[in-house]
Amino acid sequence: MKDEMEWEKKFTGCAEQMKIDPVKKERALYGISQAACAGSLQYRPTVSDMIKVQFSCIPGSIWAFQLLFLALLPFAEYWLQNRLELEGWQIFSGLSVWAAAGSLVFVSELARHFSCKMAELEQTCYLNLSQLWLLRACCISGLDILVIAAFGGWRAESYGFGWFSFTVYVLTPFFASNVILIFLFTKGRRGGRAVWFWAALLAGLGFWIQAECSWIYEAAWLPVWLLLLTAAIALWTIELRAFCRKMEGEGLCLN
Amino acid sequence: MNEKKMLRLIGQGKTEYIDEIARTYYDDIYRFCCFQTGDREWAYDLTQETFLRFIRYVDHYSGGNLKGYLLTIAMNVCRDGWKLQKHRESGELPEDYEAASLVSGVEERLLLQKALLELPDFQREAIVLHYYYDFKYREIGRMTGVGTATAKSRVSQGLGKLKELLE
Repeated sequence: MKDEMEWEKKFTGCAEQMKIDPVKKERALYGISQAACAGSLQYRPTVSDMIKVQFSCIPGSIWAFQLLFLALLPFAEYWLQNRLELEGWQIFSGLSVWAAAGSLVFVSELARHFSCKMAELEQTCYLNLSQLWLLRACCISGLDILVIAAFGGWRAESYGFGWFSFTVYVLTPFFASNVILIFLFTKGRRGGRAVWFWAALLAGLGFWIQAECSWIYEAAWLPVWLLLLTAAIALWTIELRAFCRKMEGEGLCLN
Repeated sequence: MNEKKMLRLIGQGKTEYIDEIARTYYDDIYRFCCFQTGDREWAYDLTQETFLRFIRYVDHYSGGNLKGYLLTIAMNVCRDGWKLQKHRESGELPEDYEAASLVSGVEERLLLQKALLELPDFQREAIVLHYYYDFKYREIGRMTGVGTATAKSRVSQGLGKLKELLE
């Protein structure tokens, strides 16, 4: 410790003898000031600024549609339960479809980027499309998840399930359908009929299993649901990442 | 005004705050450049270059320790300067440096500065940052892009060499 302090003193002493010429200092400061005024400053917005800008680009109609879908969730449940007289577990698939339809609103908003040269045009207007896509995907999906979870907390008991399992049962098809949708909108668009056929078959099979097989809602199958949900979220993240990378690259062509 | 707020205002184009930052940290950066090069005249140029680089990259700065950030820029500027000027190849200090030090009449300080220049860049940087600027090993590690343990060993090995040179 004493040694440390001695060295500190030595260095301070050394620095003290480095006298600064006030004229040279003022001249240097003037040069720095001139360089700052010359406009060599670049403005890089903070993350919160970027989010604010992106939010301002989301049209009100998107939020209105999204909120409408979510607000109608209890009515959808009522309709499935009382009008179609479905069993409790069958209602899950209905609610999942409803939640997935909500995400369609998000996809439809982004679909305009696939119109002829629209994405390229928006990029020339300094719009960061990958930022735009990511933020919207995360915001709208986050909102959906929040509402579904809250709804699950409110209604799960009436079906004899816990809040957690109810949320998992509804969110799994929600994410799976999002994965298929983004896949079809990206790779699938050039994949020909076969890709669409297999995607439709897979989605239909999934829906059929969910709507017809009551045994998959038994507690023993919950880990499988969790595994599927994790896989769907992972795939969804990978798809978004790959898509954003493509947009950040030079070869942007969504048409 | 707090530095974070000042930087936000700079980002919004209020360049007068650059002057304030330069005025506040000029002496620190100048002395660092002196320690690194041993050349007082050259240190003026390097200090100015440090602030010019800061202006160029201020938009990349994400907050935190501003003095540390400026010293990191100065460190890179000095390294680049050394590469260009190859002062060290001659193994001698500039004339004015020695004269100035002798005028002040402190031989020990002169020897210390001379010995410092004998050390490799990374050890000298770590020692100066630790003993003069009072940065912790963790902070030095972050500034020089190495781990805390490496920063610590650079300081202790450098100090060992410095002691040998001074004996």
